[in-house]
Amino acid sequence: MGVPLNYALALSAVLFVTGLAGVILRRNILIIFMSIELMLNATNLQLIAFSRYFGNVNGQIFVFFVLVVAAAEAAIGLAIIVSLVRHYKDSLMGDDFNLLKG
Amino acid sequence: MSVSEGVFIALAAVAVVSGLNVVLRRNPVHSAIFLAFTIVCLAGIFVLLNAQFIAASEVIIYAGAIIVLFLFTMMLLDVRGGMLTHQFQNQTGVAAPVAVLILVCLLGVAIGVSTITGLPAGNLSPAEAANFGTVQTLGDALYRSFLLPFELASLVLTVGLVGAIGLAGRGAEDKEEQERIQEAEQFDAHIRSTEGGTLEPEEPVAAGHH
Repeated sequence: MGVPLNYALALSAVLFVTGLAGVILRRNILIIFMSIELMLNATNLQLIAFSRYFGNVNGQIFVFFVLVVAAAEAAIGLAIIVSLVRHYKDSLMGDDFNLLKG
Repeated sequence: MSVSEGVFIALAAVAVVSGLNVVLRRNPVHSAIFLAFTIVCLAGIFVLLNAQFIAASEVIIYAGAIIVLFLFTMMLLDVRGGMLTHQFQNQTGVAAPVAVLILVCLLGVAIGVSTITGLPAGNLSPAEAANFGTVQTLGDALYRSFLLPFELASLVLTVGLVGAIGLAGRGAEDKEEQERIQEAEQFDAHIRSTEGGTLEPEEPVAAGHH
């Protein structure tokens, strides 16, 4: 009865690395942003699995705060992308924004 | 294999396949839809792990708000232009081995978690505590132990709201301002050139008209 802890951790690892690969491999900034959301969700799964494992509700509270910060981050990040694409350079490719490149 | 184990594996398989699609799709709109699939599957897994309230919030906040925000952004911007160029960085040769290495490390930790930490290999059985993860227990912890962070979270959301409006809204005014300045400069240049009597492309036309 029930799900082993290992299964949840393994799923979290696979989803996290999928998101990581998206961040370091893709060029489209919108897809990079979605991959970051994927990584956040993998971490949430880990927190919830350990919260269940230890019978302590604090892990779920942390996930709640992660959701709050993710919502604010998505709003601000997308606003930055909109403003960047409209006024700085008409492109969605991350390597076109190379102002800080040494 | 128990029922919840089977449900977990089914949801996990769908979540992983949609997660891969998020990363590999050419069209960002498809990626957003697959991200929604991943989120819904993860919410189902959260229910299996006795986090009902978090599962509901996850669906409402992610699938309901964040992905809709992504789709609105794609509607505002021209996402089709980005689909024509090649989609992957040139650093694949370095990045893919790094990702695989991290995956191996994390999977090793996931499989050997009980031997590494010395914790008993536990089943996350839902029968153990019936009211674990309900709104009541969560609200109890949220409004007693985490009252200050909870209030600060509302502050974070307010700052996010103001910041998003400021960032996305003020840019448009700046552009109008820039256009106005450009027009004024062009007008100035035109006036100066006609007053100075220097040659300009419009004069022969005007002369021909007379």
